[in-house]
Amino acid sequence: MNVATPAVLDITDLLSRVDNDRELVAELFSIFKSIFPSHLQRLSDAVANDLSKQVQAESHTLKGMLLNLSAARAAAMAADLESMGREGKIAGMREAFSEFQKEAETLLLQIESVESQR
Amino acid sequence: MKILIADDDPLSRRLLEKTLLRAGYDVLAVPNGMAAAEQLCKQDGPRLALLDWEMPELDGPAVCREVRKKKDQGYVYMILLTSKGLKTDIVTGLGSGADDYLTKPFDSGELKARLRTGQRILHLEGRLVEARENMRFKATHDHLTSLWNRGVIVDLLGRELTRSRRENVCTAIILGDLDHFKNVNDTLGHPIGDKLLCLVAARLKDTVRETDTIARLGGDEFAILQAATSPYAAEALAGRVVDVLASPIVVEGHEINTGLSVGIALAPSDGTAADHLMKCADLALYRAKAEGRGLFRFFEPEMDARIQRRRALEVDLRRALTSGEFHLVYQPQLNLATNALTGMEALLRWTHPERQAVLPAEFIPVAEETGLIVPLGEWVLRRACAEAAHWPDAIRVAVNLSPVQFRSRGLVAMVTQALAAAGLPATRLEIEITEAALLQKDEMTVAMLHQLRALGVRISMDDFGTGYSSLSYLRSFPFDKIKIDRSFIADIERNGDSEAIIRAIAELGASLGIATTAEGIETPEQLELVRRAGCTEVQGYLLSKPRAAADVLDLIAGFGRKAAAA
Repeated sequence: MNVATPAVLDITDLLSRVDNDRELVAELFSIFKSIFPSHLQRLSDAVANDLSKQVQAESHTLKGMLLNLSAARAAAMAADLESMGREGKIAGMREAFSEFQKEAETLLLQIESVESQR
Repeated sequence: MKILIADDDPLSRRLLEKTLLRAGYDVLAVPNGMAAAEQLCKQDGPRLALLDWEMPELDGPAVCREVRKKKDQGYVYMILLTSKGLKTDIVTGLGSGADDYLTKPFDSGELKARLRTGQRILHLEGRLVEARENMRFKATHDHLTSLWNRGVIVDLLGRELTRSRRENVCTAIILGDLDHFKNVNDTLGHPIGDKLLCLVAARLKDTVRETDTIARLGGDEFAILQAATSPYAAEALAGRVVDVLASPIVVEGHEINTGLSVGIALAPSDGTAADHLMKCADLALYRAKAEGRGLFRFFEPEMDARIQRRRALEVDLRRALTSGEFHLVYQPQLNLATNALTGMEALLRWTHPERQAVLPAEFIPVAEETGLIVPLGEWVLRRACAEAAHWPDAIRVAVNLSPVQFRSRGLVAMVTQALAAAGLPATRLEIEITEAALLQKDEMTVAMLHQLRALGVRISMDDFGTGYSSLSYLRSFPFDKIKIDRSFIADIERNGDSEAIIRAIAELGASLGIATTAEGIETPEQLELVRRAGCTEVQGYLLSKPRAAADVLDLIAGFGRKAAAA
């Protein structure tokens, strides 16, 4: 199955932003993989408990990380969650989180794929 | 350059850190706003910062506000990192004191370009601070010695006097003035004079306590402010500064013997206002100068009265010049070999409308100090020449010139014009100068004397024998006459040494072919003694007291009759 679509992880854009430093990219992936699960868990808990302020804060943090990784699609989904949290829109939040979770899984696979090519 | 990164996201922090390390920055990365504010508010903390907007506890804008509150440190250039893109957010960020913002995900090229802008601004700010510090230094310090300047010490004195009143403690202001500094500038040049002032400043700095304030007021004047002191401590300090400047100072191989005269004023006993106290110290300094230099004097209220009298005299002198209060009297000079009158010395008299006669010894020094001696001396010369023009051709007129007049380049022209205006031959004018005119061995003075001699004017040395090296002055210029100081004559009957000195001077004159005049002859015994000693001319009350211009022709006729009878 081909899970690597450019919209998930734009590796070209990422490399250009770090002056083609592949070692740094690998380090960033490693950091992301180590901290992402806990952030995702906190976001999941916040969504499950309708804690809109926490949803806003967690999705903002995740949005920043994802933007830095050139993961534009996941970042956009995190931005939607952030905005729902800011506005206190509980309706649709669970669905949006579910979509985001799927996109994140795809992203992690994409990262592993890139790492395996090194 | 040192840069601070504050971001709670480790991924973002590492990305920024690596990017900036690669760009050559010295990076300090912190995980929250509190740590960022602490580092940026340090005196030697980073001056460039990248701050994530969203951080727990203290966010980026709050860090900016904290940093901007601190006024006593250099400028910090702060860039906010944000994934917020709304204009209102940007306005909020910049309003908090941030200088710039960068949106995530950042591009390394854009990041470095914005940081370069920050560095340029910090560089300009550094130059601005440097220029401001420089201006502040110049406004408060003396440019030559880097000591405090007059404005600062007067200001500090004012504050100290307030404290002195409140806490009932004594404050001393000590003014010092270098002795004969003008001679150093005149003979060795201003660059040497400037170096001397710097060395004097260094000696003074080494002498005072750390709590004393020292300033250069200008020229060769220095001031020391001694706070919370006592008259004894002030006296001790004044003594030390006088002593420390009594030893020679070597400047570029020149051994300079200067010295410091010092005046001291104390608060509250002498006054409680800064300006008044400075004036008191100045008067005490003036007294120290007058009493021999190289010493210190405390202010005494009597000094103020004296200076007031002197100022009044100066005002009166200026008025007297234009209102015809001066006149000349003449005292004859007699040739001992022929018993014939050879000349008349013109002597200045001032009839003050209220005080009547004012002694020349009182007003001439004031005229010399104020420069009034130049117009006054010109008036004397023109008047003497005009009156002498009516006398017989054989009688010369002798006019005294002040050393101050020799500083005026127009002196020779003035003498020429006075002779021409009076129609008096130059050979009938004799100029009397004292050793003081030659004190500085000034080439210009000697050149002027030669120019006057070339006109036909005779030159005589007055008050001979009272200076430090009278004989050496005879080598400076070939004088026509030596006038032996009256102090030797007054002493001649009681003191064998005086007679011996007069004889030696007369013999010296004879061997050099110079006439010698004994001044102040009042008794027949003195006349006989100076005749025996070999003097060629005499002058004094025994012959005649100084006479008004209107009586001179009668006086000359009388002496003519006496000479014929003899």
